[in-house]
Amino acid sequence: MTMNYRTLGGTGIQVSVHCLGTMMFGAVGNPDHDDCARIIHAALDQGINFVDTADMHSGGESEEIVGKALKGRRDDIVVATKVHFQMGEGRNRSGNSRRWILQGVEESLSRLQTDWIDLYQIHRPDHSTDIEETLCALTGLVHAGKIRAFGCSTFPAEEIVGAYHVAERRGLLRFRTEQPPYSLLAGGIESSVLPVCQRLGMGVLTWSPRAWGFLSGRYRKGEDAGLSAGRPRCARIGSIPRFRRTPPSSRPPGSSRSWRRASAAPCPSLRSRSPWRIRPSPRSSLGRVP
Amino acid sequence: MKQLEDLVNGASLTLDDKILDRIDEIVPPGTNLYNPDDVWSPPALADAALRCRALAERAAALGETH
Repeated sequence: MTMNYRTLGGTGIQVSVHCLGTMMFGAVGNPDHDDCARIIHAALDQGINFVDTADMHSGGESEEIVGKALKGRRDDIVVATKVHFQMGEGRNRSGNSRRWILQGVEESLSRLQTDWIDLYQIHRPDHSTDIEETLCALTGLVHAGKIRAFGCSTFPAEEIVGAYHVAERRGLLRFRTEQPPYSLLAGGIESSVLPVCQRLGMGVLTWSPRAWGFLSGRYRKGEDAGLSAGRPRCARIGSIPRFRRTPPSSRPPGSSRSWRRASAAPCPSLRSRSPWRIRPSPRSSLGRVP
Repeated sequence: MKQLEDLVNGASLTLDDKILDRIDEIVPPGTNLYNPDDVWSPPALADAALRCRALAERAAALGETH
């Protein structure tokens, strides 16, 4: 496979169009660190130079695995991680406050065994913290050389626009990327988030491109879907009437086609649904593996 | 590892317009068939108090007519 590269959200950083997502590395998914390292190295060997993790994935274990696996190759890899969710005990160990961001980044740097993070993302909005406070902390981290750029994840369009204007008004750096959920089954961002990102020149990474594994080919027509297994939240998809586990003969036509679609190819969803309808900005990196 | 291999192999797939149009028929553009993220939503969606002004401040109570 020939790997293509794009500029990440106007930062000048060149990233592969496919980014290796590592949420399932660690106790939540694959606890075998050596196996995870092999996956990372195989991805790098394919030309992928973009690895995304988060502090909260397996309580920091994913970051540790990534840090260990990238030893000796760090300079060539663009490493992204996130902050926001609760990390351990303590009232101020979550959210988007300056206090937690400044502490959280040090802990991530330590787990990743690196001196800098290429892309530091705010994992979710936090209405208890003024966005100016968050942007100010992140801008300081860029100036301190601890991060190279920052972005957000799962922000609604209005929050992205609001943050953009606050940054502009206050002379702060701005979110360069957004990472929303996006798949064949979840195209909601096409109505506002993607157009906003395009207009603001932001890069877009996507999470859950295979809809919690539903589009992985694991679930096949006529077979027990086992929707209660795997990623725990995956079970929720069974609550959608269209995809409820029912005998194939009683499924509505749309469901049947969707199931065929899900199992037709090794990876129908790697590129999600975007490239053909919302033409992504050349600045965007859209795919995520896995 | 198999997952990675499958995904990387699939990256070279090119879908023609007919298939893409069909996908759009199944899942219309701009729509979600499920809620992909229930971790965060505007607080007012869950808290009725945030959606309503105090009773005395509502339009009818103030004698406004619309």
